[in-house]
Amino acid sequence: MFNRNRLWKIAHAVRYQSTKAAETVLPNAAIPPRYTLATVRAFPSLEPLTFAPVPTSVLAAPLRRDILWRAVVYENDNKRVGSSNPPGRSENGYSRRKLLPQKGSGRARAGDANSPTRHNGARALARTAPNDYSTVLPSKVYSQAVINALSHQYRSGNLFIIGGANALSKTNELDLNELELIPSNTTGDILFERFMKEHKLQGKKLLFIISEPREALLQNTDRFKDKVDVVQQELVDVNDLLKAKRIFIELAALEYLTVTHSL
Amino acid sequence: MIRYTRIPRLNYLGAGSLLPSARQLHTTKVSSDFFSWFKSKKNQDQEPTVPTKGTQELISDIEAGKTSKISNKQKLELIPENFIGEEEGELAEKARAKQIKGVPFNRWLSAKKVANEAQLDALLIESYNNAWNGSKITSATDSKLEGTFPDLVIKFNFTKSLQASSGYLIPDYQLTILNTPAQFKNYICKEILSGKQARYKESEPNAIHLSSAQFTSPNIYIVPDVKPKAQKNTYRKIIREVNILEAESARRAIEQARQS
Repeated sequence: MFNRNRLWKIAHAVRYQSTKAAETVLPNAAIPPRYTLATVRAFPSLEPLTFAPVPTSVLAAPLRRDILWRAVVYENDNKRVGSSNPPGRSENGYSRRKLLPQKGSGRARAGDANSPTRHNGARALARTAPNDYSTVLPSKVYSQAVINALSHQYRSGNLFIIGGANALSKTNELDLNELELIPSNTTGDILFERFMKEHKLQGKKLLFIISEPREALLQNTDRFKDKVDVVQQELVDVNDLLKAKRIFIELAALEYLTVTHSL
Repeated sequence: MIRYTRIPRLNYLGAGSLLPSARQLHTTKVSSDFFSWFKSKKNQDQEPTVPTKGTQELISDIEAGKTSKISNKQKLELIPENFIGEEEGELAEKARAKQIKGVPFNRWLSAKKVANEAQLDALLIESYNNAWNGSKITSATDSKLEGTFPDLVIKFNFTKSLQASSGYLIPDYQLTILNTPAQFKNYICKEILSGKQARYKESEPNAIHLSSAQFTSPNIYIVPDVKPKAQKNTYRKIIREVNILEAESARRAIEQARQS
């Protein structure tokens, strides 16, 4: 049975250890920053319009390769179609006749020619298409992976946020505050090519994350569809985020991803 | 055992040992669709090169003093379609490049990139004076450059002006962690002016660049990097010399052929 005084002393000591002692061990301990700055830009010139403070948990989270790995494996598993149809021993086509008598031949025991142990035999675990290779991943882990992939690209300097509400500087008349090209049949793809040339993006894999359908952007990037992906905010996956050399994301789409994937 | 060797075609001409037996260096662009040019010429309407007139009619024309206008179809007109090497695709590319250059585009980054520390100091002063309305500086050693940005608006104006005038984008993460104009200067000196950014290749992000300055030991020698510009110059020089030599050997071969 504990003495009341003794109990109080222990509690006091624990409190001391967790506060005062910590101060002496980590004299320079500081609260880590809560926000990081994202430049909000106009498109296609990428001229800065304002700063947007974004929580560090969203855009400056430390890299977690393990989580990214799990998410990529999960996505790729779920992408598999599974169209193989290996025959089982009932479908393989050979006779059901026993190849050797059970005893007396001097050889090892053998069943029929369909046995999976034999050359040209059937598959032991036969399947019929469609085969389901899908795996599961806790949604929290997947969400963390999306945020982590965004953070990684942000820290690598490959994330460009397009928007412009409450801007500190004016938007040029040749620019827009969304991921869209000024609608014109003659200059749309020329303008996009100029954009790529200006920012040295030729031959690089680009990802455009849009919050709403952008007709002109989709049409005018058709010529470069091998390298340029235009993805609606709801359909973004971790593979896309990691494979892109540059990501252009609308501010509204970033807000959407932040809200839907914040834990 | 029979060994097959590739014999250069020039040796068949019997030009002797004067012609180089090794493969020639070709500096002109390969035209992949060479025969299509002849094909296109063949398909053209073959108008008779000699006028098809009756003899009597022709004689009467000559007696009457008429001069016939015979257009020489053997002679090519100097129009773009008649030039070999100027393919349609290439011409289209050129036209497109011209269009791309002419399309209106908001160029906010300076085309002239900052190249040395003195230029950077001038830009730093200019950006500081643009961003801070009240206070002005005249020297890059001013202690005000060591002070932190009072608010985000000033930081935004300063960084935008610095990026626009230096011609280089600064990543958002750096914009966040750099807090004074002096830190920005250090960053640009370290990352851009040192040539680190120019050397960076996205396909080889973890490439190591060694320099002799890193090693003090006398038994370590680092082969200095050859810049692409120097490589290109040397290549051009070699090609020029080869062309001169080839022309000279061809001239000699022709002279020898004449004499024999």
